[in-house]
Amino acid sequence: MGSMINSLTLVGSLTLARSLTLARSLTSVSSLPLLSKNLKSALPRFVVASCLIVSCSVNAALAINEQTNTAQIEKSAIAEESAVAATPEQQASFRNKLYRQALYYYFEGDYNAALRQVAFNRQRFEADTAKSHLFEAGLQVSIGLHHQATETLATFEQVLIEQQAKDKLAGLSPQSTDSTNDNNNESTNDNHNESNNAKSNTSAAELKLIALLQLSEQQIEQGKVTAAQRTLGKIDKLPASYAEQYLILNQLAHWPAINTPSANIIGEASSKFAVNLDDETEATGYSSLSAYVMLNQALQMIEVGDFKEAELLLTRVKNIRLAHTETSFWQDLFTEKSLQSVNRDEDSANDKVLQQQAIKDYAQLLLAQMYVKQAQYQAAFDQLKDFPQHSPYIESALFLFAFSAQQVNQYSTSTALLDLLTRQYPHSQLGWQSALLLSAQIKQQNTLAESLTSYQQAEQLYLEQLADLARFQKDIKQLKFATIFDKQNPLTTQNDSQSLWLQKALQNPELKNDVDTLTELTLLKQNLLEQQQKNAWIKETIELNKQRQARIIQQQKQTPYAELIQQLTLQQQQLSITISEAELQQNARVFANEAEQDWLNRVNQSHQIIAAVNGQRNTEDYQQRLARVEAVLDWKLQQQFPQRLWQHKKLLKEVEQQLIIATKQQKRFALLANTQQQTNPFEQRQVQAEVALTKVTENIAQLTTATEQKIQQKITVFVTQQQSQLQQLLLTSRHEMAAVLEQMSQMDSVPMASSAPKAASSLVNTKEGL
Amino acid sequence: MNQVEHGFTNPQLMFKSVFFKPFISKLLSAITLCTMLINPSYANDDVDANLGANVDANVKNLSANSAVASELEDIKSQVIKLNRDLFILEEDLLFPASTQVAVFVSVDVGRFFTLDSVELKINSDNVAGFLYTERQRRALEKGGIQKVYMGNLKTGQHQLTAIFTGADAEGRPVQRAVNHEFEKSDETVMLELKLEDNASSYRADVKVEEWVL
Repeated sequence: MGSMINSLTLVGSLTLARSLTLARSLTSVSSLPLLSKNLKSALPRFVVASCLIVSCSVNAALAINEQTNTAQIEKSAIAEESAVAATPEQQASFRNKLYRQALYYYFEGDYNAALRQVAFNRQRFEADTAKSHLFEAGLQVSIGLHHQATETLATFEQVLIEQQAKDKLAGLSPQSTDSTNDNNNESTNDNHNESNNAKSNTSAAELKLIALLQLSEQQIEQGKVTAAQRTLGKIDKLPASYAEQYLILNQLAHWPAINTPSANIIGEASSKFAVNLDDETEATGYSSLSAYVMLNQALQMIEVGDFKEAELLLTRVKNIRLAHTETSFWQDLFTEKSLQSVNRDEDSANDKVLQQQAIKDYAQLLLAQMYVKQAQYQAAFDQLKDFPQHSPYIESALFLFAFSAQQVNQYSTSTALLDLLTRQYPHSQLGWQSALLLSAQIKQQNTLAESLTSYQQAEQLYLEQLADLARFQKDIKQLKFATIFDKQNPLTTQNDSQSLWLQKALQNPELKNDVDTLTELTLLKQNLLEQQQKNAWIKETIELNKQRQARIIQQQKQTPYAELIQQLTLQQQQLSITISEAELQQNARVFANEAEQDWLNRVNQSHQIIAAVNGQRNTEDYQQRLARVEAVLDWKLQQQFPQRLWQHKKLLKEVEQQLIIATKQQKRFALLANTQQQTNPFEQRQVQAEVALTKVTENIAQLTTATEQKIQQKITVFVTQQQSQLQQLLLTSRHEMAAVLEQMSQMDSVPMASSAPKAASSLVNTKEGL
Repeated sequence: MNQVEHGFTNPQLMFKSVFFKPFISKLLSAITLCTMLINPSYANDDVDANLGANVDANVKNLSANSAVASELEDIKSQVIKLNRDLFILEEDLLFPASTQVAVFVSVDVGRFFTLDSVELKINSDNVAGFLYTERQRRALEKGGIQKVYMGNLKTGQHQLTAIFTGADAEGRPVQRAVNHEFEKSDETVMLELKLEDNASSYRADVKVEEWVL
């Protein structure tokens, strides 16, 4: 008896231990087999195991399906969910972060990626802010999409107004919205000074002003001058920091008018461009932009014949101290980037100095030209005496200087200069003209024999250039344009004769434009090739996913879903009945495990035996013992009743959950099997991309062919023009030679005759002949 | 081509101003007029006669160039659109929101830490590493945010470890690391590693911000 009680206690404690394990493992789906092991009334094991297999494999299949089906939904869902979850500040912060991602690409120099990111932010996260529009417009300008930039800028104002209204409704201060908050992100200053660290907010009004200025610039660029005038007319006042930009645009929009309507400039800038300057203004220094404004003013004055005022202004530009120009983030953004500048980190300080010097040199040259125009040769000569040797305008300045020197009878200077021009610029028209001018001067000053030699040298120069030009034309026809105009090609950078001709030809802006177009087309072709490879890879990935999906669907077809659901339903019903019975009757025996059920069976059997032998023998003792055992068993079961009831309820929940999952999966699997027959959205998008790629490739090929033909024609025209000029010069030189020979023969026949007066008239003839 | 135009197209001159192109176009037309008067080669009657014809030819050329420019712009914009569509398609295909996790890097000021490289680990697995160029570092210091990693994770708890290597204000090599526990739900998880200057301790600290979509 004692051993029996011990064993019962042992069974009880084991059951308890298992129940605890069970309770812990209930949280995991993998506990279902354990549940079935522990609970007497658990479901048949195979049902649960099948459920698990089904669950895993269908989940895998659905993951792919979800990728397909939810891709479109995600876009709106993310935005919708975020709209619900995030506060307006958080939304603004998130939009700002998205914007800064695009900014990273911009600062890195990858403008295409920046533009893609802006479009991605808009499409995926609905991050459609006013600032992103302005940024987009700037990026479009950076990569040469001027028409699109104009459209983007035109819509910017509307978006700005809408956003301001939205922010007002949301109760946001202007500083807290991403539309108007330019933090230190946009500082162009690399030094980490205080001003860089401080937040510099660009107000909505300032953003609008920037947009109007940039819009007008784009319109001027596209030749829409009236539209530019209208755009600029919308600006009634502006801060001094934008004055120079505004004034230049205003000048260009109203060119050549001098007195144009102008906005009210807040600050000291307006007085800066007055013709009469004071020393105080001069001492502070000018930006390069101010110099451009003044140069434009001077040109306008020259056009209307106001030489005195133009002279004052040009002298001022020549002498002013040009300070380092700090450009804002937005000004930098809207600058069209050349291929070279994209690859370079920053504009070097040397370039800025060069640029400032070039402005002054140009003013000096213009001043000299103005003097020549007024026949003030001495003034022009004095002006060009100290012209910098390494200026980009040195060739023009040299020629003008030589011409002025000749006019003021500085013959030794002019001879040296013309000789230098001829030797240094053998491919230049100025060099060719210099050869004839030099010969004419020699004819005037020296003997006829020396003059003849000089003309012969000029003739030789022209003949050599003609031969060289013919070689150039022949070579250029044999080469492919893509290789000729490759930036890496030494032909465009070397100083040999061929590349010099090519460089000269490229001085024609139209030809240069065509060559740039061809270069861009080549780059676009390369980019398209990469995209085609990517598209092919995406196609392959979609195909692999489809195969995987098909395999899973095949596997799933073998799973008896209906049977599984039926069994699960049956088990659910059984469990429900058991639990409700147990709760109603508070009958703990319902939850007895196998061992306990054995014991209960034995007790029942014992009762039957006692009943059978009752009356024949004294069974009172047996009945008492049996009652004690039964009571102990009942007590044990009753002790565990709440726990077991909870476990069963939990199991019922699990079964119900599995039933729901199985039912859902059955439905989704049916859906998946159906959609498998159709083309999925990814595939559609991939096919669309493929079609578009083919179309764009064809367009590029067509445009490339057309551009190549245009370049070929323009080079032919260039060569013809050069040949014609050389032929004309050759003819002139030969005429002059003939004249000299004639004079020589006359002198031979009349030894005492003087040749000087004839030589003087010869110089005049030469000039006219040119 | 006259001498002044030649001067302007000299490759040595690198105009960086935004106003370069419009300024030059107007300037050149004015200069051409001035030059005609002083250059002996233009001082003959042919110039006036040819001027009208040249203007007509220029107008034709301008319109032809404009058409080509417009066509080129159209192609460019199509290529950019294609690029964007393929980028989105790729991301949708490879990184669905339910499993997507993205890690970003940003730098605030950068006086006390000059970023050199970053290494990322998720659940002790090396997932990404990035070595910065001068330009990329500056892009971050100017306020750009870089997406340094994008991958897929199961739902549940994960750990992100980031190790930043660089130099301090004195140029000494220095490392900063951060550990961050996060939970991947059905939504995209976006984590920003912010390298921030701490003015009180004169050093940079790494903070992690989970973006709220």
